[in-house]
Amino acid sequence: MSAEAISDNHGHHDHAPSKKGFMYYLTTTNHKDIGKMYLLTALNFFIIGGLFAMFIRAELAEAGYQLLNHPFSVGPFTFSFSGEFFNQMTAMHATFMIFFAIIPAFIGLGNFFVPIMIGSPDMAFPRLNNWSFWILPFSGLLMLLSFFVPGGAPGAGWTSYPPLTSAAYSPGPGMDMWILGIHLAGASSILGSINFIVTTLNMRAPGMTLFKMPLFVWSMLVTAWLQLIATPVLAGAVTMLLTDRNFGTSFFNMAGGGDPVLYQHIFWFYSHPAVYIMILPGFGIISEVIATFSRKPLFGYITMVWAIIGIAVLGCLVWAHHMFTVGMDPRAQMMFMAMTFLIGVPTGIKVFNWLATMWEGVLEFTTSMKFAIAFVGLFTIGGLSGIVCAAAPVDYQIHDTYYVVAHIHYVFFAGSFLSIMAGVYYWFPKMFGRLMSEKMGSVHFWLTFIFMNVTFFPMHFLGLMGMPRRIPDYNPVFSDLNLLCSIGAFGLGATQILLIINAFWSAKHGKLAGSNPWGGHTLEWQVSSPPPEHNFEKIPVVK
Amino acid sequence: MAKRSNSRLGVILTVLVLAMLGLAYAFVPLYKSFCQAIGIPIAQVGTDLRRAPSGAPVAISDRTVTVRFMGTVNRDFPLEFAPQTVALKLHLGEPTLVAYTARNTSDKAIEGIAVHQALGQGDDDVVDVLQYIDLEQCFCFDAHTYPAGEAVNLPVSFIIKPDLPKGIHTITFQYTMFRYEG
Repeated sequence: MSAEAISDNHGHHDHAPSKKGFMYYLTTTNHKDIGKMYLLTALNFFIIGGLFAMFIRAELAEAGYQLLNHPFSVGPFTFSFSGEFFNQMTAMHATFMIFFAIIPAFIGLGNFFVPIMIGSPDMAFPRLNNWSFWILPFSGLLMLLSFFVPGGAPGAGWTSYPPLTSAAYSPGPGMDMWILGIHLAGASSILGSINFIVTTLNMRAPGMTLFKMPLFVWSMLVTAWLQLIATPVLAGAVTMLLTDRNFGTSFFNMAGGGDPVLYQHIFWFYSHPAVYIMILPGFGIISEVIATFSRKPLFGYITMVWAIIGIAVLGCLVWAHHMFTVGMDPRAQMMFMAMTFLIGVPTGIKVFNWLATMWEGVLEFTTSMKFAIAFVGLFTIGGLSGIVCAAAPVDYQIHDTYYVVAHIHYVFFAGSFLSIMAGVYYWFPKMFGRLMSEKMGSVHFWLTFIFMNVTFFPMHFLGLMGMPRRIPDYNPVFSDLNLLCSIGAFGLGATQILLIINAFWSAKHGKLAGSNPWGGHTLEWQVSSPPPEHNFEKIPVVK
Repeated sequence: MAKRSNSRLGVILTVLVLAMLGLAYAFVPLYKSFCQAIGIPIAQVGTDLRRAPSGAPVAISDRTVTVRFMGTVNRDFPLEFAPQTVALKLHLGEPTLVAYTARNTSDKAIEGIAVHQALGQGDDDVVDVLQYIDLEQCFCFDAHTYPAGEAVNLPVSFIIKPDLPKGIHTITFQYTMFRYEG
C-alpha cells in the first residue's frame, strides 16, 4: 500500500467549484459527497423517528391515557390525539428508523469508504449513485406527508399486514402513500446495491483480491446482494397490497380467494433479510474498529468472511419464524426453528473472533472503541433473545409482547446504532479532516450506554409478564417498569443532542486529524483527510 | 475495458432484480400448490358447509354482508361448543347452511338448549336483526340430548332477508348453550 498522503488542492479543478451550492449537491457524482448526504439524511430521519418514539414513551409512561384523548389548543387550533394517532406513531417510528435512518446511514458510510478501501477512484456508476441518493429524501417526505391527508398516516404497524391494511380497515390515501414511499425507498436501495456490487467486483485496485478486502467492504458486498435479492420481493408484496386496495385484485382478500397469510410470507421473505441488511455492515465496522484499536490484525479473517456469507444465506431461509402463530404446519415450524437456531453458529463465530482480536491486544479506549466493545456485549444480548424468540413454543407466549420489542431494540439499537456510532467516531476524521471531541464523545457514549439499557432492558420483563406491544394503555401492574423505560427513553433521546453538537462543532473547529490519526492499516488511512477528489493520485497497488 | 464489463454486470444484476420481482408474484401460485401438496389447509372461499338447502330459491341480491358465528356455554355445563365456520361473506337472500359442533365432556348424558341472538353492526349502534333472518333449521328451537363423551353436529340453515336495513354490514350469530331442566 504505497499511496502517499496527497494534499487537497491537487489538479482536478474542473470537478469541484470553489463554493458548493444546492445545485452542486443536486448534481454531484462524487461518492464522498453522496456518502455525507446519505449520513445527513439519515440523521434527519433519525431525529424524526426519535421524536415519534418520544411520543410513544410519553404515552406509555403511566397507565391510562396521558396524551391521547386530551384536547389542547395552540392559538386558534384545537388538537386531540386519538388512539389511531398512537398506532400511527408506532408504525411510522419503525418505518423511519428502518428504511430512512439505519439503512441510509450504512449506505452512507459504505458510499464514502468502500471505493477508497478497495483503491477505486469512485463508484462504478457515479450518476446512478446520485440518483439513488436523491430518491431517498423524497420518499421519506412522501411518508411524512401522509400525516396530513384524510385518515392520516398508516397505523397498521411497519409490517402492514392485511386485512388491517386492506381498503376496508385502512381507508384513506395514507396507506397508499406509505406503499409508494416503500417503492421509492426500495428503488433507491436496489440501484445503490447494483452500484456496490459492480464497484466491489470490478473496480478493485490491482492486487486487491476478494480475500484481501477489508471486512467492512465484504459486509457491504454481502449486504448489497441481500438488498438486490430481497427488496424486489418486498416491492412485489406491497404492489399486490396496492392493487388489492385500489384495483379490486384479491391477492390477500379472503372474500376473493386470496390469503392474508401469503402476504406475511412474502413480506418476511424480504424483511428477515432486511434485519441482516441492517446488521451486517455493523459487523464490518466493528471488525475494522476492534482490529485498529487492539493494534492487531483481525482474528480469523477468513472465518469472518464466511460467517457473513453464512448469515446472509441462512437469513434468507428463516422468514417464517416471524409468523409461528398464524397456524402454520408443525413440520414447517420445526424447520424454520432449526434454521434460525443455526444462525447462532456463524454469529457466535464472529463474536468469539472479536473477543480473540482484543485478547492480548494493546487496547486503546477511544470513543469509537467504546462503542464497538459495547456493541459486542449488548448485541449478543439481542442475539440471544432472538434465539429465545425463535423457539416456536416460547414464541406462542411472547409473540407480539414487549419481549419482542426488547429483542428488536437490542438488535437495532445495541446492534445497528452502536455500530454506526463506532463507524462515525472512527471515520469522522477521514471524512472532515478534523477529530471529533473525545471528551464529549465519551460522555455521549456513557450516557447512551446507560440510558439504552434503562430503556430497553425492562421491556424483556414487561414482555414476559404479558404486556402487548402497540397498545396505548396497559394494566397498571406494568406501571413501574414502563415509567423506568420512559425515563430511559427521554434520557437516550436527549443524549443524542451531544452527538449532533459534537459532529457539527468538530467539523469546523475540531483538532486537525492528519491522514492517519488512529494508526489504521486499510487503504483509506493512506490518503489525506479528507481524501482528494479522486481518492488516489495514482491507483494503489496492493501487495 | 473496465467500463464495458461494468455495464454488462449492471445489466445482469438488473435482470436479477426483475426476476426477483417476478418471484414475488410466482409466490402466489407456488404457495397454493405447496400447501396443497403437503396438506396444509389454506383459506378457500366458500367452504363445503355452504351448500344451498332444499326449498324454493329466493331472489339473491348483489348486496353482501359478513356473518360471524360465536358459541358460548353457560357456566358449569360440561359441553365444548363452537362453530365450524367462523365467518362468511354472504349475499342477501342466499340460502346458507353452516354447523356448530358440541361435545359432551362428562360421562353422563345431558340435556341442553341454546339461546339465539343475531346482532347487526353498521352505521348505527349494534341492533337486533333477528327479524330479518329466516331460520329454516336451527338447534335452538328445542332441547337436545347430548350423549356422554360424544361430539354431535348441529346444523343451522338460514336466509338473510333482502330487506335488511341498509347500513348493516356485519351480523353476528351468537348462541349460548344452557342446561335444560324441563
